[in-house]
Formats: sequence, structure tokens, C-alpha cells
Amino acid sequence: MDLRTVLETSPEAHEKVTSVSLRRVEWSLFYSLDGTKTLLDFAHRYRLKEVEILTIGQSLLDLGLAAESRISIQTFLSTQGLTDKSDEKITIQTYVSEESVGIQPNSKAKDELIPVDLEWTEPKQVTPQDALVKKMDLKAVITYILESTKNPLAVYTIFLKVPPHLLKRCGIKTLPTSSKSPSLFISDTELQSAIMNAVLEKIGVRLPPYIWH
Amino acid sequence: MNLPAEEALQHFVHYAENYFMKETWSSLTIEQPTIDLDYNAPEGVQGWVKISGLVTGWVMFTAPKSMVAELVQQKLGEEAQEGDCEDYIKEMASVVVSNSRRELGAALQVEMPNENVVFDKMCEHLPVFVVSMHWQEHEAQMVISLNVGNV
Repeated sequence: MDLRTVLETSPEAHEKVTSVSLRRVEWSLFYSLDGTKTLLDFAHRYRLKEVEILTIGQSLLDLGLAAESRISIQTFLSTQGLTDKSDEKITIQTYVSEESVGIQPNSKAKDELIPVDLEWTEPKQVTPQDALVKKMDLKAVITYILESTKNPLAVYTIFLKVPPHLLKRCGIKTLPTSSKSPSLFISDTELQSAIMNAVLEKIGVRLPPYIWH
Repeated sequence: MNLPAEEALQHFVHYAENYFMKETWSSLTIEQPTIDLDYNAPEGVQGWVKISGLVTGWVMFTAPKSMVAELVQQKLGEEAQEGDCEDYIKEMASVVVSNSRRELGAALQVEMPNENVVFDKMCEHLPVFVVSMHWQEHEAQMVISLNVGNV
């Protein structure tokens, strides 16, 4: 593993995530893994030293939470903003909109630095419940179940596997079985895990990255 | 391929539609089902059956008394008497679920519940699958509660 390594969450991460304790920065990195960014990208993003990001990456690999991702050179280059767009023809509207937000063609401005409270030196161990930063879009989860199963009844049998008290404590009293419902974001990590496990158990698939916000 | 629980649910919905079509020569409008975590049956008459075998749980029909009285009148050709509405809706629940055995086979067993059991209490703290059905100006519900263990 080196700084060019691209990591993604491992298939068994959802099982292990509830039984490990990581530092905030490690959880933050774990939930940012999308299979396209290199460790060097994350080092820049989180303002970490190279040795620090390598240590975290190795730690996630050792714990089975992450796996090395294999991507095509085209995907890699496009995520790095290295594809040649100099000959690409765009409209004046696109050009002006890019200029007005300060994005230059081929720039990496969209990959802005995110200020994160790293607590790098803090020895305190935190639980997943404390550390998760992403919200689960319940509407996107239901839509994904419907697309995967083509059956609204599967939504019911999947959510039967989710302890009702977890849903209720997030103020959820009813669930739609169609994608025509308002978005609802869940930040309760126990409920997130329960939903992920129920989907995996019932239909054997992991939830896609786009359900996270 | 559907799993037994989804297959059973599909047949329950299908045979509920069929039942109304046969009884009334008119169709139901079925709303998109919802999952209710805190179900309270609306005012009206209720009939339910216990299912076991392939899947276990309960299937309940609830409808306003005025709706069931109309159904009884259509069936008997005379006004509903005391207890007719309750008998009718119990029979509806039993027929709909029993008909599903044509597809699901004898593995699905249907039992009439103890008269003293209150449906709301049985599914307290459990998510139920609620299918709202509109017939003429009335709204009825088919409510399905399956046990978690075998879905």
C-alpha cells in the first residue's frame, strides 16, 4: 500500500462496523471511502501527514473495514481531474457558471478542503455511534429496495427485520412503500446499521453509496 | 423470485381485489401500501384470521359499519341484522386468505382467532403492512402483521 492506493469499504464492513472502536479521524475517513480517491487525496483533504494517512489506511485494511479498490485508468484520471478537457466544447452558460464559482477547467476546486476536528493526538476511543458523520436517506433506501426487488412488499419484509423501537425513536411512525415520498434523513447509527443489515440479509445486497449524505 | 412472505402478501392483496369484484361486481381502488409502526384500527367492524405454516402472523380486514352493511345488503338482498356485519367481515378475511392457499398450498394454515383477542393488541409494537382500499365512498383496510422470525 502506498499513497496512490485507492480504498473502498469492504463487503463485510457493515458487520464489523458495530464491533470496532476507531478514532474520529478514522471513522471520518472510513465513511468517505468511495473507491475513487487515493490516500494522498485524503491526506490533502484532512490535512494529514503522509505517514498518518498510511497508518489509518493500513488500520482500516487490517480491521477488514476497507479493501483495495481496482479502478480503470480512465476512472482514476477523471477523479483526479487529469483528463484532457482542453478540446471539450462547452456552452457560454457552462463557461460563465464555472467562472463565476471559480472553477477553472481541469481544476480540482470541487475537492475543497473540509475542516475536520481531527483530534489526532487525543487517545480517547469513540464508538461508531459517536463518530458517524453521514446521514442515510431513507427515501433512497426504499427506492433502492424497490428497484432491486421490483416488489413493494419487500420493503415491509425488510423493515420487519429492523427493531421498531429504533424507527420510533427517530420519530418514524409510518413508512411508505413507494419512491414517491418525501426524503427523510437518518443520523441514528444504530438504526442505520439495522437497516443495512436487514437489506443485506433479505436481498443479499449492500446499500449503494448514493444513499449517504 | 419472491420469498414466501412477499408471495403470500401478493396473494392476499390479489384475492382481496377478487373478493370485492365477485361480491359487488365493482372494483376496488387500492392505495400504495404503507408500513405502520403504531397501528390503531379505525372505527368500524373487524375480522381477522391467524395464519401459520409458510408464514405466521395475522391478516385483518377493517371497514366502516356502513360499508359492510351495504355489502351485506347486496349479498342477502335485505338489511343487515345484528351481528351480520361482523360475520361478513370475518368471512371476508377467511375467504381471502383461504383462497391464497390455491397458490401457496396447504403449507399455509388458516385459523379463526379467539374471539377475545383484540387485533390492535396483537400487533402492538410490530410493524404492520396496511393496504387501504376504496370502494364507492368508503375506505376499508387490509392489515397484515407477519412474525419477524420467518420472513
